[in-house]
Amino acid sequence: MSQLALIPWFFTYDLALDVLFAVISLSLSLFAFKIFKVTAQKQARFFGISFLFIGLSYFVQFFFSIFKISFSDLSSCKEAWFFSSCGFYLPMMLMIAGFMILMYTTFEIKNRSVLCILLLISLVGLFLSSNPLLVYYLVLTLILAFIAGSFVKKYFEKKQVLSLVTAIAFLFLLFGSIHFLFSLNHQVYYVLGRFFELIAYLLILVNVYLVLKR
Amino acid sequence: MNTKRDKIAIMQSMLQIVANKSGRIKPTEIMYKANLSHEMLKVYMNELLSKEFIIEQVDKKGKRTYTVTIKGYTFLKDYEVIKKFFDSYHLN
Repeated sequence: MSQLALIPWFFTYDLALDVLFAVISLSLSLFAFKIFKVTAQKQARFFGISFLFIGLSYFVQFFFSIFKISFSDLSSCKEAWFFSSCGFYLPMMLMIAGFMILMYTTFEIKNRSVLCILLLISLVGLFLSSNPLLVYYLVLTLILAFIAGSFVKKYFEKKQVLSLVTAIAFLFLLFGSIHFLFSLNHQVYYVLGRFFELIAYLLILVNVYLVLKR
Repeated sequence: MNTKRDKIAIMQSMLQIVANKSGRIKPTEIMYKANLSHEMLKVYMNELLSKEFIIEQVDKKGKRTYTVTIKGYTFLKDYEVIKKFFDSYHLN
């Protein structure tokens, strides 16, 4: 979340990364929906929904960062306060929802109530906390730890190149998320976290290329 | 079979069998050729029918035969990509 990135030299890169991650996530989502159209497998649909939320989270983040810069002089008016709150909470909600749905798909949970309960607990924690960013990064790290752990386990069961790329990509997302936790006190960790995120999304892109390669 | 086949692979195998003998294949033949139990055959036939990958035809004597639909052929054509996508994210 670039609301943390108060490092001036990194701001432009931060915006560019938001756009790049959004494009990759939304492309993967579109691809999953196309697979769903052909196979009618529910898991492909949920996978598509999860990356749609993740992609939208980056786009909303990008949009509100631009808004913040463009209308910084209007910070006292009610509308600016409303937009600023939306810009703070909406990307976090979308990101948690996206990765939560991905976890639901990865662990093949059949009961949708479980997803709703987990999602509600996370969001209530986010809204009631005096430090929402800490709660957000903590929840995200926990979800990513379970997803990455599952992908690593499944790689050792099947030992396929595609599984390996996915496992490494999610491990990098996890490393990134852990660095974001530390970034609350030391901003340089935010830059490191974004760098790990970049590697992760590039690996996801490589994965799509390998899948499409005949 | 050395490894357990996943859902997508079984569906592809059944569709390929039906496509090879389109319109002239009986359920028992699919069962033997796809190496499935009777229970599994029922489950997967229902799945293929509900997803409109195959259609069922019943003649005057009550004999059932199956034909692959356009949707089914699309699945077969894109199977390699679908399989790789499902494998990479362990979807099934």
